[in-house]
Amino acid sequence: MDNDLNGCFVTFEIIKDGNLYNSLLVPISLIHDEFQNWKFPGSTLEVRVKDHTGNFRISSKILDQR
Amino acid sequence: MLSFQRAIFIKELQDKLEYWMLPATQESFYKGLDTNPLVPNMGIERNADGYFYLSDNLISYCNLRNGYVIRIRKHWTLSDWTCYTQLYQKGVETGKFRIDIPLYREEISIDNHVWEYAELQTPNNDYGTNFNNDVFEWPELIDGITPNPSINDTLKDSVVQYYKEFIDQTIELKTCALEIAINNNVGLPKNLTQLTNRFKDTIGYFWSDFDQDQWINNNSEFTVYSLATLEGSMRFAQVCGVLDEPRVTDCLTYARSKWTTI
Repeated sequence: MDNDLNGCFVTFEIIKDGNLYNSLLVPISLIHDEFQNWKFPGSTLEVRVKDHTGNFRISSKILDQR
Repeated sequence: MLSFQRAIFIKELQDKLEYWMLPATQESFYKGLDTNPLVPNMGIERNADGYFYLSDNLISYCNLRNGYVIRIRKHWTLSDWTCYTQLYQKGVETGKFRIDIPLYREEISIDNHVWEYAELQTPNNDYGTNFNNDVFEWPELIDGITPNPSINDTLKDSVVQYYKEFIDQTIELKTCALEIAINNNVGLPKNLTQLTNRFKDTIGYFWSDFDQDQWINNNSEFTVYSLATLEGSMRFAQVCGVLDEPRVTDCLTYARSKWTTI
């Protein structure tokens, strides 16, 4: 769905073993909630957040450095 | 809102709950992958004006154009709405904080369980922006993982000020909420002072979403949880390169000194 609200959303790409399993549209205000869904101790998934222009902004791998 | 419109909204939320509970819906969101067992699964569905938030215990619709929110939630007490409304009134009277305006509530029965339906409105008819938008203002990560080399001490100091300003802003809100909680013989809503629940519009900051919480947490539990989530946020800022260990420690010490004395 394309309209003037596109900038309010990001796309979560859920990656397992290098393969893209799903793409989910999420409001920017809820990025933390969606991250919590996928990123937890023991999770081997990678989550990539892309902004509405397709620019890759955050990988969940950043949290593995903690 | 006219009653027939409200009836349509309630029916739409009920339909979304039914849809969310379908195995095929869960499969479309999760593809059989493991998700965090410690938090309720949730899903987002966008439409032309906003989005639906779907979960087992909460279904809501947020209009991104005007900040209007409708929701049903499974777990609630009448005191939640009473206390929330008192806190809203306190904010209006004192002018010291703004929260979403409580407009309407009623109880509805779904599958032999009484859910709470409610309508709220952001204070300036604007959905606003929150911490996540501010993260996107930081210098962009390289490949989504490496801190940007342009980050310097001036920026890090501004992020420290950002967190301390947030902590300062929570004081009046929590003080008033605690007074109301004591008067009503209840606890505090868990996410009252979450950083991601603080939104900004053209007038300033306001607080959202904690109307979904029950007023059940004692002050000590509340403070421990608030400190833990604040630290989580600052650790994220640290791996993004905009805070370092001394600055995180400084902010946490500041938060402890403020929050443990309310």
